[in-house]
Amino acid sequence: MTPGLRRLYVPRPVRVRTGEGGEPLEVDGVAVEAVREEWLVEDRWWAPGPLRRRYYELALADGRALTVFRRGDSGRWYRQRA
Amino acid sequence: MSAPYVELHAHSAFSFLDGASTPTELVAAAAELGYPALALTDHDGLWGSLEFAGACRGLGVRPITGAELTLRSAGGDVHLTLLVESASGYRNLCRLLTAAHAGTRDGPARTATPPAATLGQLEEHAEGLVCLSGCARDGALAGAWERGETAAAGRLGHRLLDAFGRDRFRVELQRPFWRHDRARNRWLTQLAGRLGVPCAATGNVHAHSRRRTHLQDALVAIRRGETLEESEPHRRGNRSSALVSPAAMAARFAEHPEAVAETVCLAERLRFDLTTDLGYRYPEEDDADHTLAELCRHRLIERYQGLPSWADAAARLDRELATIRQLGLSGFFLLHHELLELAREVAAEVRGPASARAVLPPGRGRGSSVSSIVCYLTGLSHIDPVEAGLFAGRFLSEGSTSVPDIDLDFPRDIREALIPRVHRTYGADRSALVAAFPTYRPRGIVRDLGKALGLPPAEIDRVAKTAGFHESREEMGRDVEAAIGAERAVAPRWKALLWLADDALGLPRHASQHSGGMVLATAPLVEVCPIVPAAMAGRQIVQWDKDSCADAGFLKIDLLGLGMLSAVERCVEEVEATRGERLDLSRIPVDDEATFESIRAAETTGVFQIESRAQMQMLPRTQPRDLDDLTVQVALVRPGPIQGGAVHPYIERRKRQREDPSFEVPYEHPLLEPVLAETLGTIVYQEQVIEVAMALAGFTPAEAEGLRRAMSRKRSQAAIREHHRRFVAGAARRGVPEETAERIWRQIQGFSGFGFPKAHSAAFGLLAYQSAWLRVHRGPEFLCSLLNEQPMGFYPPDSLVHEAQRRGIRVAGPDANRSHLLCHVESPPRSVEFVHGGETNSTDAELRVRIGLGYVKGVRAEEMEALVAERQRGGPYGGVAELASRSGVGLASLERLARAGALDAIPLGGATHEDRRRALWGVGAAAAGHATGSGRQLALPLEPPAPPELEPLGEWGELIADYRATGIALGKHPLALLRDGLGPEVLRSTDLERAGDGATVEVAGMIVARQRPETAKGIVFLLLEDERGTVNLIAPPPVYERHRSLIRTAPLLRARGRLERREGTINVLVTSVAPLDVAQLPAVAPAGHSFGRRG
Amino acid sequence: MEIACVIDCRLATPARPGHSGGLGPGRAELPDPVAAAEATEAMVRALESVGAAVESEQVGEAFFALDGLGGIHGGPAGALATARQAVAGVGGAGGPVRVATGPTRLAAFVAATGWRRPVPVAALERRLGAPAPEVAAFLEALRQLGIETLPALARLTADQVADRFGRLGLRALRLSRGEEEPLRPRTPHEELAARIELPEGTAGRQLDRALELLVDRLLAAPRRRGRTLLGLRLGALLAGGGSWSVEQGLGRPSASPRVLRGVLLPRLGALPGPAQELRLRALGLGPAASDQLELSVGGGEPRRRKLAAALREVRATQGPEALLRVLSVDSASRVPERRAMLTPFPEP
Repeated sequence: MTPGLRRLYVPRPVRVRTGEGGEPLEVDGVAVEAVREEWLVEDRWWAPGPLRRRYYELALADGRALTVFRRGDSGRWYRQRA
Repeated sequence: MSAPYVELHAHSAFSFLDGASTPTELVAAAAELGYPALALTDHDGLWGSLEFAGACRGLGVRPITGAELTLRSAGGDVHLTLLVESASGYRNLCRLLTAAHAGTRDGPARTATPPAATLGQLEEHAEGLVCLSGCARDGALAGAWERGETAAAGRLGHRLLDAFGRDRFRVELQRPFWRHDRARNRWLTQLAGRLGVPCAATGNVHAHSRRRTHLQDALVAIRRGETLEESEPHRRGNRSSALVSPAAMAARFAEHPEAVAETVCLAERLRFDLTTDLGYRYPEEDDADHTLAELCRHRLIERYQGLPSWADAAARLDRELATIRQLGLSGFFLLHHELLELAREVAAEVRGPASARAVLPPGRGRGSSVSSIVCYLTGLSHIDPVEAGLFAGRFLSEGSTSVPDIDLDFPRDIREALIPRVHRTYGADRSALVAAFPTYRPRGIVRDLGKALGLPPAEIDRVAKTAGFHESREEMGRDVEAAIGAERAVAPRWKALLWLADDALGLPRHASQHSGGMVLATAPLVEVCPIVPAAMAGRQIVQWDKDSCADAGFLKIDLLGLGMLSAVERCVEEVEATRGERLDLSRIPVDDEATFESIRAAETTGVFQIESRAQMQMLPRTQPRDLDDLTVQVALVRPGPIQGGAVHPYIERRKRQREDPSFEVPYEHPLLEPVLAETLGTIVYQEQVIEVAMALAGFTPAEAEGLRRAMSRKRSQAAIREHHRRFVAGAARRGVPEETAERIWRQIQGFSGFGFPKAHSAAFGLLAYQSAWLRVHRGPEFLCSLLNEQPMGFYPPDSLVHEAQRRGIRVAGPDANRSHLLCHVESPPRSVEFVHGGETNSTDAELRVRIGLGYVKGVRAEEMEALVAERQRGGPYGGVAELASRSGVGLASLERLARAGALDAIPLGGATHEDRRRALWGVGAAAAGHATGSGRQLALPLEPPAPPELEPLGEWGELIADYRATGIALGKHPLALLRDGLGPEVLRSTDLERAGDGATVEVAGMIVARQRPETAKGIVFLLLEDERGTVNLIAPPPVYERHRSLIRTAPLLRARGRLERREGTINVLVTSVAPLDVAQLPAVAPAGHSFGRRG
Repeated sequence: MEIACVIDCRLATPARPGHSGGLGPGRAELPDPVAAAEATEAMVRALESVGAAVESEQVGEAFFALDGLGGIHGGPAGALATARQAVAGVGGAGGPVRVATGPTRLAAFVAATGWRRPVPVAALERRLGAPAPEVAAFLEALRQLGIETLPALARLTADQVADRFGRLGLRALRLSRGEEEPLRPRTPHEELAARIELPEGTAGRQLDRALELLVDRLLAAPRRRGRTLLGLRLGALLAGGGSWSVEQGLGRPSASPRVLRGVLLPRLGALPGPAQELRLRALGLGPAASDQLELSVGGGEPRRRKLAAALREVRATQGPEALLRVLSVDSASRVPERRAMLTPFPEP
């Protein structure tokens, strides 16, 4: 990468406990009060490293709004400013 | 209905460059997923709706007809989903879609603009339709929310409610898994509540499977002319556009169960069925029977009075008229008669009333119509069916259920003028051309997908150029590797291109007009199928292709332009201009021995329908002796008889018949004898399939017709199986052994409907005979007319000329002081007497064909016409500058003329040099001071000084120059010049006569034609030409694979192989090929014709 | 006087008799133009580093006078050897670079490329100094008239040639007779270039911001030392493979970001596919300009000076990476980390 260039909105790993349908119930220990929106991003299938993410816009019990996603390949969860 | 959900919003590939699956694929997937019904809602069109409805019925899914309409509103273009509830709704939808397309070709150069209807038009045509408020991004309501225009959305919602009523308007909810789905759907639900209408959930399906959604992404990128990356905001962004099960869809809308249930309610109501409820009637007048009878009787007297066949003809006419009355088809024939009268008017305008061609009828009918005396008398056909022994039973029988199919062939120029004339005469809402849907081909797919995938343009270009006309994915993979190397070929993007191409090949790409099919109707056509303006001015097309039109029972007339007809007409004109003789082709003897001898010897280069390699191979073996034999011959070389296994038996039996007059034709079963006697027990003609089904298995005419139709379309596997069952059962009932019945069924299946009807073949056979007669007896004019009618036929102009030269016909190159724009025949000064219509061989020797100035590549026709006109007005040109200033020809064209040798006879610096290089120098010097490369007029009348001594071109240089300039080498053949360098082991084409069967031989020459017919299992046929003649090469698949690129593209080749002799034909079975490289020649030599699908 | 010709055979060798080789004036689509330009630049700089005064007006070739160099390196032979050694490293082992001498550029070029006598007229291609299409048309016209070698051309009279081919023909005639203008060496200049990497391929309009940044960085390079630019080469590495570049002259020397952006942005439109790297190089530097401080801040001079001072102070206290600017890359993307990047604020 050219020196000094940095990405914005980089995803960061996060710990999520899920329910039966796969929806997030708890994020890094904080309970999820509501799932506001849920959407899918599936792209770049023509390149090595295709993207498959299921995003959730959450309202947490502590009053914060948070966007998280789950990767389709690894199943890992991340949070991201979106 | 047990399914919880029905899909009411789905796009097929007929939403061009948006939907990624064919209607059949969608229906098959829906059936598998358990959908009881499915709606097809393509963009602004019903292109695939009939195909969709047919596929649904075949698989037990109920089809719902509809479309996604683009509405022009104050805020821009929005989408609405319209579904047909009743027949009046369907009529309204057709009119609405027609209105949406109405102004789409009004722009400059008639480029298409996107269709859209106005709100007013929608309101006018709302009855009988159910309206859903549109998709999430662009829908009338949801789209407005996306853009934040909620107030406008509310207003529009009210207007739609007013137009459709509470009963037929629904707010459409979608769940494309985008970020704000929930918010949007909440708002829409609230709006629906305020409007007092239910919501309905839809999927906005664009693909039948998850895998196909990738192609859908690529199509969006292609449509926008962008790469996949660039088009990201406009793509779906995930794979939710694939069709999924009803249960999965219900789960997607778990928060809106009532919207899900509403889809089932709506589907219950939407019972309009396109396959049964279409209301089409063809045009006719009240007194049709009487009018037709009068017309025919009048003509009967004209044609037959005083002839021995009078009584026979009169009796036939009465019988036919009775049948026609009974079938209610009088209006049908009168309509065709009217069309021909119209054509006569048009022909007189196009050709001028005084021309020799005025003697020729304006068009010719073919198809089974040619066997009808009514057709003959009304001018639809030019074969006297009584004379020719053709029986109308096949064309018109009491049990006929479908309207007869009539094709009319016209010379190209007349056809161009006739089509808009028909539109004007019958009215824009009652006549339209049939649509055709060109599909993706390898070359186009590589370019489009390559660009979308962001591959380097140079690589895309290389791969696209090597891709053939139709290829499988493995072949494309090999092309990629060959073009850009193995390392690049495994790059992820190239690999993606290959599997995407696999999915895309064969999908319809856009709509265009069919080559000549025209639909006519009484009730406005526009209520039965939408009509859209075509790319060509004065024309419009229905949204259905010929298969859908046939399914709908439309009256379809094919107005086709036949190059050979044009050529024959030109020949007749040329004969008059050259010899002062008015030929009446309908009066030449039909048994001219010289003509049939040439046909039997396969000297048929340039003769329509019997000039192909396959035909030439067969003629010496089948040895046609009369028009009947020729009729079989024309029909024999088609995929139907070939795949049905008719060819070899027919050839064998002809041979046996010649050798042994007592030879009895073997039939699979005695029941077949009356049907197949004239084709020696083989199935050759299309109607013989019907007749065999009727004779052997007792099919009724309707059943047999159904069988024929099912076989000629790729969509009817289930129907074919059913017919097979019935065939075997019926044959058994007639005492035919099962094994025999199965064998005959396999022949029928192999035939598959790809054959000519007999009357069609008779018409073509007659045309072939007439052409062969002209070739034998008016050789120079015949060659001239073929050259002027290119492109057409099997051979490139260069080959036509070489063959004619070998026969002694003289051909001279373009000459600025002698040529016309077109080729013409030069006659010696008129001190020689001409003989009308008789032996003219002595005159032939003095005639020569002069290549026209229009043949020089790159010159403009108007310029050359001006040159000729000025020469005729003011006398021959005495110098280059004089030529330039009098005629106004620009420098660029002058240079081209010089290189073509057309200025050789023009004096330069006071003398003629007959040297192209010095002429080229002279032209350039006359333009001294002006910028090079411009087409500007040269104003200076001063002749330039004498040119310097330059290296003469030499024979080789002239050859190259000829090929570059006109594509025709008139001097020595390339092989004559190369012969010395080849060595004695390389034989000439004429030497092969002396070689024995099975001998190993080597030949070399130019490749004039290449064929890889689908019926031949990968074998490639090549026609090689050297200075003495032509050689047939046959390359088996392993040889083709080894030398793929050479065989596909090299204009010159050496070939080694085994000689094969059979009854007058010679082939070389190739074992290896090698290039025959001489600098420059491969780059300019004509590439030869390459044929893909055609046999 | 002996002239030495140095050519990079990958770029300037005739491929076949009758063809003038890989690159000539106006060849359309150079296979890898960025690499080609950089290889030539490296070759020229290597020669300049040993003291040669080099003329290099086209890709892949360089000319210099042996005399000038001979003085430094002990005579023509020594000069030649030194030059050979200097370029030996360029282009990798196996030396695609060849050196030869002759009384004229043409002669030296022919010697270097190895054309055998009689020399074909195609050898004139690079020497005619006219736009590519004109040269091509002229050579084609000669070929069609059967005038295929230099001796054949030289046999024509000046009158005949002038009549038929005008000025271009006369020039060709003189060249074929060994008459040429003197060398025009360039002033050696240092590398002034900038580049920027982009995530996973970016295309079209999304690149506009990146280009503006690139212009700022180029102008901010300390090496520029206040001089104006005479021309630019804009290049890109493409995501799908391969590269692309265009050259852009400036009507008058300029160091104004607004001017540079104005001429370069339209050229971006010709990019054939998504790019993963953009490069910008200065071609020639002119005299220093007086009024160049055109920050996009606008406003009056005092404000600019204040801003410049403020920026310097922040950098001084917080470190050079402290000041960052948001570069919007693909603001509409559904993948949030593709939307924007942080880049260092340019030096005022």
